[in-house]
Parts: sequence; structure tokens; C-alpha cells
Amino acid sequence: MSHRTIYIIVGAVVAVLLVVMLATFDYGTPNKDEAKANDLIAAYQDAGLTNRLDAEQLAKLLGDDGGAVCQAAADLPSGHAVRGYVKLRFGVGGEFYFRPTRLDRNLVARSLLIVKTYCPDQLPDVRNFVDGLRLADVNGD
Amino acid sequence: MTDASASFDPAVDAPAVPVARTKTGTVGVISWSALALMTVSSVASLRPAPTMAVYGLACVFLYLLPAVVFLIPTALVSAELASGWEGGVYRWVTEGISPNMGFAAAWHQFAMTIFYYPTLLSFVASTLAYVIDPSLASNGVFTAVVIIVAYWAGVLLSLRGGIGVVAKLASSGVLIGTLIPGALLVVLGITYLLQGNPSAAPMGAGHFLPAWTGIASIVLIVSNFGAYSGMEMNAVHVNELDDPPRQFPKAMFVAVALVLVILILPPLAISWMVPAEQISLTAGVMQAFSAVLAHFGIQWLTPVIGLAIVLASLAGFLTWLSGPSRSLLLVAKQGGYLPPYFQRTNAAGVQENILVVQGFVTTVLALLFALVPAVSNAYWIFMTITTSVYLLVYLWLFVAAVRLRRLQPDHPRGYRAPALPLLCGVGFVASLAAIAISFVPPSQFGSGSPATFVAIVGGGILILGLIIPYALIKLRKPTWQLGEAEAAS
Repeated sequence: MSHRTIYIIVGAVVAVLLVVMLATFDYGTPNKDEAKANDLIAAYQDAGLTNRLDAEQLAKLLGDDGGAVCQAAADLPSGHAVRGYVKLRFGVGGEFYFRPTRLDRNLVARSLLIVKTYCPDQLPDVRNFVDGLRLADVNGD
Repeated sequence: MTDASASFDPAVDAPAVPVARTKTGTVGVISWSALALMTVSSVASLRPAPTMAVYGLACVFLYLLPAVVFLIPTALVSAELASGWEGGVYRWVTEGISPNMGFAAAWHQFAMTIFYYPTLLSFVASTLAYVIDPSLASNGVFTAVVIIVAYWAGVLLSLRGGIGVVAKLASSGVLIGTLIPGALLVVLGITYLLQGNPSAAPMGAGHFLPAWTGIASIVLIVSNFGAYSGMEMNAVHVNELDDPPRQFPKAMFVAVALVLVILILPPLAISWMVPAEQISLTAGVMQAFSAVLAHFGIQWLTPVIGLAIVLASLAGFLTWLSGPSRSLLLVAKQGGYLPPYFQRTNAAGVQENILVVQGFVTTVLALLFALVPAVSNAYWIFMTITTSVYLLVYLWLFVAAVRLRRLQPDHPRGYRAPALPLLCGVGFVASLAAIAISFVPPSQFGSGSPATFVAIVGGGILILGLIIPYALIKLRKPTWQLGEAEAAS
């Protein structure tokens, strides 16, 4: 097989993947919900945790469904591969070398508050997952 | 492991001459810029960016300190050694310490890659799932199929195309999937701040250093010392360059600059725009990108970015596939360390049987990772063990470099690293510290006993790093030492 043929095949596979990904992606724009964002800010304050973004910015990031946080929360109970994969990403490093470290207790507390505010049904599963982790004061806030 | 009786047969040993004088039929297969990009794809990508973004401004320190104590020593020492000797780490360790240690170094490089592929390719699966159908992310069968198909497609590409095709695809992949999306992320981050938005993470000078909270801070800082592991790996292809003594150091210096930019700036940009708590549980680069693109109303770019990131991961995969297995082939051929079956190459000179056998092991690991809960939950332990085994390579590398300066001071080198003993001393201590810190239980170990963790990690390092290579050395037979013609056939 000539190199040219290889490049053509690789190019064709990439083109097909691009078409599939463009065709299947959900382009829906999440609804903003500033009321929920305000609830989250209040929850941070009640827990004594700092928050740097206002309700409008949080609403943009979390929408009305908790965005990526609640998506991850929904995946945790159903997929052990997801849990294994997420555990692989708690750490530091580069592309090849990646080492598990200790997660910050306050950071996890903040994530749990997002789950509690936006997708409370998932809270027991996420809490169950988090309870299996050894947390530490890492960020010092 | 340092059995003196296992010395090289000069008849099959590659000549110890400066690589510039060693002209073979394959010289000039890779350009120096392609080698630089291959090195970048081996070490850096956007994959760790969200994970590091949770540390805010401190992520800069977390990458700069390892750059001083590990990246610079590794890059400069590798540049000197590659400009004097062909073959990469196994050859340097062989010349500087002993042939058996050269084989051990090649094994230590190779061993980690077997466990690395399922994690890298499962990232490809999760990225595809994120764009195509997020529910696929929790589907173990989908993950297993993507890992296995991608792995064997990579093997087929390597076997059919050889290193020339791999170099072109890998360098294109890093350009499309890392440099361009990384630059986009940074531009969007700067724009976000210029629009008057407050940074999601504090950026004051007081936040440059990670907070000091005792052992957790030490684990955080020292664990990252090895972040630049792999900088030396592509030196195995040095004889594919036109003028290795000049071009390899040049490729290395360009790679160092790009790696620093790629690893530091994108996480910083993410930390400006996305609060840490929104990425800590997902640790996903697509989730981070999605949040950033949504802010600017350009979510339509998400599938394109997703594909680009997949291509970058596959580029890194191809680079790793062709490097350590090549080292293992060369050292096996020169010292007869593996049965003749593993020394066989195809018409393109690619180590086909090593890749195929490695493929079967990877396939089994992928199936276990994706389908067996106990394995996927514990897979991070394999990564802890194998990163430590990989770091052993650097111990041998730095010792070999110092010894080569003493044993072969007049051996021509295209580049001489300044203050080499100091560089090697600093790099050695940093590597040793990163190995030592792997014995501290991380979050993933939960409430398990630290002694159990030490036993698991120590046992794993012992088996993978010492017992297996020692057994292979002891089991080898004189008949495994093939002549040059026989090995080539």
C-alpha cells in the first residue's frame, strides 16, 4: 500500500467522522436560570464558601440543568467505566504521565452544592461516589 | 541486572560513532520539525488542561517547577546523548552503564505504554461520545470497541506506513488537535477578560504558589515532577534525521518551548472562564470547551473541536506506539534479549510481532477496563505503578550521561549540555522524589490502609520494574542473538 493511499484512507475516515459528529451533535442552547444561580450563590454563602461569579455568569455556565456537572452526576451510577475514567483524571501531569493526587475538600463541597441545587435526584449517587474518596485541604480556601 | 557477562557482541552492536557519520538508507525519513511535533504529541496535549485548571494561577507554578528540575535536565541531557549515539535511551544506558541495564531501560519504557493505551483511547471514546451521544460515555461496550478499533488501526498504519507516515500523521495531529484548539482557548480567555468579566479563579500574585497544607501540598507538587516524561522517547528515531547532531537538539529545544506553552496556557485560560467546581468531577476537556464556547455563543464549533482533540490523541498514540516498541526491538536484536519471534520486522522495518503481541495484551486490558467494574475502578493504581516504573528510566538516563562523560569524554557529540553533572543530579533527585511520592495514598484510595497502598505500589514496581526484566535477562538463550542479516530478514 503506497503512502498516498494511506493518507487518502485516513483523510476519508476523518471526513466521515466529521460529518457524523456535525450531524449528531445536539446544538440546543441551554436555558439560563438566574433564580437557580442565585440559590447556588446563597448555598455557597451558607456553607462559608467563596464565589467569584455573579448569577448571570453562573446561569450562562450551568443553564437550568446544571450543565456538565449534572451530566457527570447522571453518568456516575450507570457506568463503572465512567467512574473508573473519572478516577483516572483526579491528579496532575501531562499527556503521558499522569499521577493521582488528593482532591480538595472544599472543591468537592462546592461541586456537591451544584448537584444539590440543579439535580438533587443525583445527590445520593454523587455523595456515595465522593464518600469513597480520601479528601484533603489542598487549595487552602 | 548489571551482569557483565551479558556484554554486546561487537558484530551486531551498532557502531559507537557520532550519529552524523552514520548514514543509513533510512536517513532523512523524518524532518526535525516533525520530530519536534512528535515529541510534543508524546508529552503535551489539552487533555490534562481542565484537571490542572482547578488549581488556578498555581497551575503555572505546578508546571514551571518541574520544568526546572525535570524538563530542562531531561531535554538537555537527551539532546547531548542523541547527538552522539544512535538508538535512544537503551543505547545510552547500554554504553554508560551496561547492556543489561540498557535492556531494563527499554523494558521500563515499554511496560508503561501497555497500560497507557487503554486510558488514552478511552479518552478518545469519551470525546466521541460527548459529541455523538453523551449516553455512550457510560456504555462499556462502546468504550471497548473504540479502544480496540483505534489500537489495531494504529498498528496497521504503523506496519504499512512505517515511521515516515507515522511522523507526518502525528505532526499533523498535534497541529490540528492541540496547537490550534489550544490557541483558540487562550484567545477566547483573553477576550473574556478584556470584556470586563471577572476571572473565575483568583489571579493575584499571592495565588501563584499552591497553598501550603502539609502532605497534600507535597503530593501535589512532587507528583507533577514527572509531567514532562517522554521528552527523550523519540530519540530512538534520531538516525532517521538528515543531520542528527544538529537537528535533534534543535527539535528538542522547539519541543520544550511548545510543551511549556501547551501545558501552561490552556489550563490558565480555562481557570479564568470556568469555576473549578464545575470541572472537578468531570475533568473533561470537552466539558470545559463547551462551557467556554457557550459563553461566546459559538457552540457549533464543539463537534469540530471534539474531532480535533480526538486527532491529537491519536497522534500521541501513534508516536508512543512507534517509540518504546522500537527501543525494545533494537535492544533485543543487539543483545539477543528476546526470542527471535519478537525480533522480526516487516518490509518497512517495523517491529511487527512486538506490536501484534502488545496489541493482544492491550485488547485484553481494554476489555477488562471497559467491562469489568473492579478493573476500571482500580485502573488508576496501574497508572501509579507504571509511571513510577517509567521514572526509573530517568534514573538510568542521568547516571549513564554522567558516566559517558567520564568513560568516553572524547566521543564526538553534536551538542554538549552545560553543567551536565548538575543537570543530572537535579534530574535524578526529582525523578527519585516523584517515585517516592507515589507511595502516598491519593484520593482514589479512599479510607484504605496506607500500608496496604505501599505494599500494592511497591509490589507492582518490584514485579514490573525488576522481576520481569530480570527474568527475561536470565531466561535468554545464546540462540536468540541473531546475526544482522538474520535479524533483518
